Amino acid sequence: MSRDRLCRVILEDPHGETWDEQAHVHAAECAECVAYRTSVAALGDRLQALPSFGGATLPPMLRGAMLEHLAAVPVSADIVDLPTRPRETTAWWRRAATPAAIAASLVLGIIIGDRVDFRPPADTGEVPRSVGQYISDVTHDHYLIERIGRPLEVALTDEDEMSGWLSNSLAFDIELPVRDPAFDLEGGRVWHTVGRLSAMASYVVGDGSRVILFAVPALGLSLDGAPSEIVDGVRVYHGAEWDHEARVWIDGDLAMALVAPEGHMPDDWRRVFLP
Amino acid sequence: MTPRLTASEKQRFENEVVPHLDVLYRMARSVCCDRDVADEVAQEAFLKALGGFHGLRPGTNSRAWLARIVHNACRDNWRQRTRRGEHGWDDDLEAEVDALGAAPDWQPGVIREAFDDDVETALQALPPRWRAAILLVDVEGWSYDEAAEGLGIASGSLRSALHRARRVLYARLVETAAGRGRRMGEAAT
Repeated sequence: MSRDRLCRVILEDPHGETWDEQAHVHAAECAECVAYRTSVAALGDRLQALPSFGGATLPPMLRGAMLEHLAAVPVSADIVDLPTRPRETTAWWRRAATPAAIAASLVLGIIIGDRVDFRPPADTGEVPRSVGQYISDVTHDHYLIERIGRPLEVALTDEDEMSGWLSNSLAFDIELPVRDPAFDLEGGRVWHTVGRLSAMASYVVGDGSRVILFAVPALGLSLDGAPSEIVDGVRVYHGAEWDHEARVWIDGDLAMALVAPEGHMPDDWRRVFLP
Repeated sequence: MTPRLTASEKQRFENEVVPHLDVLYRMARSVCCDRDVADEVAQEAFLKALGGFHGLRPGTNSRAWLARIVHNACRDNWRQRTRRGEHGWDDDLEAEVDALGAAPDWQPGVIREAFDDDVETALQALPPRWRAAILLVDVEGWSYDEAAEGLGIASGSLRSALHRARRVLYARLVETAAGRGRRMGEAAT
């Protein structure tokens, strides 16, 4: 190993955390390298002790303000995962009574169906969200998905099958665009974003990065909080956070979001995805 | 937007994020340099972390996640403040590092005897991203993989940034020491 190469290795990592066996063996025997490592490591020690750098601590007033803010965050009830247990065998009398109970419910439903308004109350308790928050959430979601190993629920590469699976799993229908060589569907899952259940479909694009399509019901989503432009006749909102960029548009009753790592959004996205 | 957390999420936030508030602040301070700006960025990053915590799955490295939030907040702030004579966020001083030639032998005295102000000035002359890398690895003692995750870059890019940062930093300290030597010599004559 040349001296320049060794200097580089030491300057990159004076503690040897990422070294290979050869570098470790050499550095253990070479007095020059030991001295060089010690000097480079001393720089770290110097920075650690520097009051404005390693020695800086959060000012007490700022810490107090942060903790006050945390204490004021409203807390909602936890969702408790109940332990699963073996399904109980149904008693004979219950099996016999079930059809009768279903029939009675149907008759009752027909009788009172016209008289009672079964629509949900106007205030559903859903937190109102904006397009800006949608962009913030989906770019964060893409970041998280990359960190937790792209957890697809289903690996479906056929657009129709994927659309069917998502529509059956959610309370709304979604139709993915027809197959296009620029976007290679790899699967999808039911996701949760901007406080509501959403559809997620993951595509692999030319450079090997992932482009993810999210779709949530647009109802209650206010159209502000992000710049927009008209693309091919459709108003498209855009933004970038978490090193990811997002395009959002409204398609029927759904708010669609296409998210890619920054700079990796293929130009073809508008041709393939916009309605 | 008022963040909403469940009781257990709030407890997790207290256990996993609050202990790292000093790191959050040091990162903001080391990147932004200016104390008032660092206060502002640290607070903004804290609120973002609070708002986004509901989406963080248990088991995720929350310290690296928090660093990423601070890093992004610092970057956004840095890009908004365009000041003459300062490095851009993405600067990598390629020409300057190339001009340094082969890495020279380091004199421990240069580092040991430098004044705090000299080290601070040399640090401030580095691109902001490099300061964050140095802080996480050299000061906080994070592993290369964790620091790379916190900064949103590959481990190889982190090593390369550290290599350049240390070389430039040392070269600046040598220059300062030589300048001081010259001044002392002039004063003596």
